[in-house]
Amino acid sequence: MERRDILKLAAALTGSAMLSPLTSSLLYASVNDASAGTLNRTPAFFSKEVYAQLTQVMDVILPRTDTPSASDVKVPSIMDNMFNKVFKHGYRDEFLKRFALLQGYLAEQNFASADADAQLSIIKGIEAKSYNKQDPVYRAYIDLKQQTISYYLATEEVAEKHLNYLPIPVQYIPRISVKEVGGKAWAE
Amino acid sequence: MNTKFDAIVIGSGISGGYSAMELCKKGYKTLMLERGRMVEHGDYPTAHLDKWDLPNQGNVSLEEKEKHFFKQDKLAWWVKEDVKHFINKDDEYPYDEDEPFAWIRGHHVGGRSVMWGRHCPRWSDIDFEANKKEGIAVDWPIRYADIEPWYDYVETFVGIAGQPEGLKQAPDGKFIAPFPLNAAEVNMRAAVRAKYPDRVVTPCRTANLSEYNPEVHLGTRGQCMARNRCKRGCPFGAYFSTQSATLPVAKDTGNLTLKSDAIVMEVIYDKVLKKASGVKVKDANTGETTIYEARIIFCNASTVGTAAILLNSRSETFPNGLGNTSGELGHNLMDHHYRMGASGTLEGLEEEYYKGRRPKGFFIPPFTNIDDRTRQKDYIRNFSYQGAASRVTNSPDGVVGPELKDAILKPGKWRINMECFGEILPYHENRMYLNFDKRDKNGMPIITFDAKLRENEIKMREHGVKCAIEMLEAAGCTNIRGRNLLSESAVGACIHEMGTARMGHDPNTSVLNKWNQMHDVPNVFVTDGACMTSAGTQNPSLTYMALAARAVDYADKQIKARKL
Repeated sequence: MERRDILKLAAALTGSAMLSPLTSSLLYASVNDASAGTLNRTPAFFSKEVYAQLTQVMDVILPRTDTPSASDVKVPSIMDNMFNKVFKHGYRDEFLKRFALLQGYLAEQNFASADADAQLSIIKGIEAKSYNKQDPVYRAYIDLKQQTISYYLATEEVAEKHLNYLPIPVQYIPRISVKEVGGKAWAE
Repeated sequence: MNTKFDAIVIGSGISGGYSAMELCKKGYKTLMLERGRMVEHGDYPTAHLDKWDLPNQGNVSLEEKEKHFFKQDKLAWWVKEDVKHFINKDDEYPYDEDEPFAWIRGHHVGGRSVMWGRHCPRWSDIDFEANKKEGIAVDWPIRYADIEPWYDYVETFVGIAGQPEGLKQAPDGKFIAPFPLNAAEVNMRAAVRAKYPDRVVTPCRTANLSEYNPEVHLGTRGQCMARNRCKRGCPFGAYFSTQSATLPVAKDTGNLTLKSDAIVMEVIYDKVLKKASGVKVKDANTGETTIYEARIIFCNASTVGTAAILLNSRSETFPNGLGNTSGELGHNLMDHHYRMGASGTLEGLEEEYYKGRRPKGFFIPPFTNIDDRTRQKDYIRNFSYQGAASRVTNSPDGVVGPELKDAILKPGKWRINMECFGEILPYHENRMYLNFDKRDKNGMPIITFDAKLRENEIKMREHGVKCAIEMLEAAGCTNIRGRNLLSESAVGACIHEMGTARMGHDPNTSVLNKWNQMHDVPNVFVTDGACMTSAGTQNPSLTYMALAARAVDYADKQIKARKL
């Protein structure tokens, strides 16, 4: 049985749902090394090259720590699917154009061959361009960052194990303290 | 199947459900006709799904939208994977537009009562008197005192969570406990009221059972579980819908016959008796037509659906549509207009949070043009707001890597968003009509819309956005963004169509009398949005239900007095 089904059952039986912020790295131990799997997958929309670059940047934005990395929870593949199925053509073309500029910038910085610390400082360098929000490299990067975060938080793995997940809250309480929920945000 | 009934109700949405239930409770053998498919209570396939269970993060693919939802998707937020099975496919249900119109609907038992917004403010005499005072369209034939007891009656059964405020422009109802404001909203309420005493931030008046009382909330109802997945259908019966409330109560009387996949083509007029004798129905699956007869007929097929049926009901006596001596049938088409408002970030309150997903946020009732003191020189009528404060995703600028991961798992800053809903005036020129030269697959003439926002609405929008920004400033917000998306505000987009068979005193200028009864054909009643003489700014379903219950009570008394 899936964890959410257990929660639903518990709620149905007891009239109240369990509330458990789970950050333990023990839980994470069950996650397989998904990064390699993600890269081996043939993207439906992006070229293999763009997809590999996206994945690399995403994993610098959200690297593996005691919680999974972006590619561990298949964020690159989610994004590929959104471009393949959902986004309008105009936006898709625009994104690819801007992303090519980001790729050019990363190549200049030797991003692909840099070690993890150096990659992080290259990305921080792009973040520092925020004084000019129209800079195409910055725009391509920020778009990627926002999508990465959004898809990451909406994965079952992250929502159920690393956020506060309550499929059936039972009751709305207008004011609680953040401490009461272990400092964690609610899953959507 | 029996084809003779005491009463026929056309449509099974929020007002059709209410009409049918009241008729059944009074002992009338009632046939409820629904053109769409059957949806049983509990037949809500996405009710328990999470975002990751749905394809494409809950988004419908571009290909599917282009094929099936090219008009319904005019509302960028509406066609989603979790509700698409309750939304009409445009390739199956076409309509035409002289001016852009968003006719958003779902043909199935329960209609839009399954997906509705559930906010239920009452009308006041400020609304009922406005047409007469301003010389706009025609006078409403009723006032607040006429409908007040029916609001009481309906609200008690429906269960409206709300907070009394004692406002003349938004009379308090028979409320159950509200879904209270959260910390940011409590502060906002105080700050806004201190600077603008007429502007009241109060919880939405929502048809969700914050308190479930099985003695009163009959049907298959239950306590709200704070999931905020209402529009997918609630397996707990916690919000009011045809399926959860009026249908089970009507069925329990033993007087209801419900027929789905039954397309009403026309209402049949008997020129000898000077009454409607029944309706002609086409079976959506077999194409077979049947005539059902009844003593009284309630039209609740929705504002546009009802007008289309009546316009298609042409006879020697009524060559331009049943009950259309006035020529007003299909005209005075209204909606509310929105896609305007503002949002802002509220710093602080970092230790404050909430638990559960409440079904509705806050409501700010109208505060302009509610009396001489608040009179505006640029526009007449007014607007209200709905909104919410919530903690958004924590995605700080300049932060990446392990630090960012820590951040995004924590609650972000408070963001307050408010959407403005404005009144549209009843312009005779705003209308829908039938194109008899073009037919749909059932042989029905194609409905065509010709309606637009005009100067008064456009002026009002500017002020609505300005006031939203002012309130966010008063609340202490930063990074405030106002919006006025006129191009996304086609009439219909608010899904509150009204006015195509208006009530009025005079048979020469209106279709219905003060009892929602046709001036021309006394055994035909219209108690859906078509009856509205003006639009107000209130979400209209509560008023439709109150008028439906009132009209059934009147019809029953007339029948018992042998006048009908």
